Amino acid sequence: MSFVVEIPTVFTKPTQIPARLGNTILTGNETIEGSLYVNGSLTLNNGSEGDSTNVVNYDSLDISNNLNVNGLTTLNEVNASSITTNNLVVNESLNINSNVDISGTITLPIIGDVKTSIQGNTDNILSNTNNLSSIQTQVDSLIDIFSQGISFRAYSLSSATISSGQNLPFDNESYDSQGTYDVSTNVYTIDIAGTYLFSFGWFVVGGSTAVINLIRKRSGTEVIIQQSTNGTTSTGNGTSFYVATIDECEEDDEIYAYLTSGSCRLAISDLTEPDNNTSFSGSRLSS
Amino acid sequence: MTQRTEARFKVFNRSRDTVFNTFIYDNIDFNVGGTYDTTTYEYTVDNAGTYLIGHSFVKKPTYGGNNFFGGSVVKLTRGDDTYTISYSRLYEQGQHTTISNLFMYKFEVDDKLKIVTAGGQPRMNSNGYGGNDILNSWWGIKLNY
Repeated sequence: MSFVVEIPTVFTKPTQIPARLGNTILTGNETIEGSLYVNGSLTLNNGSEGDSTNVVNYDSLDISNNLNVNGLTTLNEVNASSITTNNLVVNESLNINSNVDISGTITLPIIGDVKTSIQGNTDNILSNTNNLSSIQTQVDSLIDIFSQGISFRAYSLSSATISSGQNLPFDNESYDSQGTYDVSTNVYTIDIAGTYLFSFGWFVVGGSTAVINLIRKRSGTEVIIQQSTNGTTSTGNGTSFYVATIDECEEDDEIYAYLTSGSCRLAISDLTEPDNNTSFSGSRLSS
Repeated sequence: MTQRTEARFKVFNRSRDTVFNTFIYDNIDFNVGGTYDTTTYEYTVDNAGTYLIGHSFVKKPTYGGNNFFGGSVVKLTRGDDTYTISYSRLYEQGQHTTISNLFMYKFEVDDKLKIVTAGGQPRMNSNGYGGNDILNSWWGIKLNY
């Protein structure tokens, strides 16, 4: 046997509803114009009686005042004028139309795996194409770009015959970006490690043969990185020889052209500025 | 900003071998961004771009009244075609003289490069040597981005 208790639509005095046993199903709309306090748990199910999953599907949920949630809350879509929370996890997109005030730490995915933009699409500084895997890579690239201006060129104004056992005396500078070519020792010192292109030229002294080694000295050890020679029979006086090579250099490596045997000269005749004939030059091409 | 793609190589041979066909650069000093085959002595371009290419060798001494001029040809194989893209030679009387070559070329991915003789009998070096020195080599480096 069942019966229905009809409750007045309006209570004119504060009213306490007694505890109920069993479930109460509200099939129509309920409007609470004052506050709703829940001292115990409040579980909003998806409408199926007996459904134990904490899933709620609403066409809309409007909260015109504060909603304070102290435990874990999962929201699939939220449009709110303000949110205060101790822990907010958003699994998909989060669009914030106004300011974001964060007093803690922001943890982002690995840059390069996420698209990050600042101040709109036009200022997009990183893309998710994985071209740049990290900020460090970008910094290295910038160093590479700006380090390609590293170069030097040295020459001689003298046509004097140079005897063996010394560095070729390119004792004047055309340019030296790092200021590390020594015109007294004719040695170039690497300032920034990288792959360098080096070249030098010289003239044959009639009746003489010459062997010139381009040397890289690293931590006291000399290694030839290119050799130039007119061979073991004399070639014509004043014949020019030019060679070039690339080498992976480290900081503080020393590079110089050393006349191992024979003799040579660096100009056909004595010159005055700005004329010059042969040169010793280098340029950093890449990392 | 586009990240730079590195490509550079340097290969060499420390022997005094006379070259009758392919220049046998059988050692790699470094190779980044490309493929060098130490059995075919062929470099395959993996990154398209403009490269600076250089190599050097020596002229074989005159022997028995014969002047063996020293010459080299850089061969490019692109698809089914193979053609010359650089030629260097020392023809005069001379022995052990350094012959060098330097040029730039715009390569495409899968281009294959090889250096062969231009006739004559060039040598890898005047004499064989050991240690870490590199007197003559074949090298290239990508210049642009």
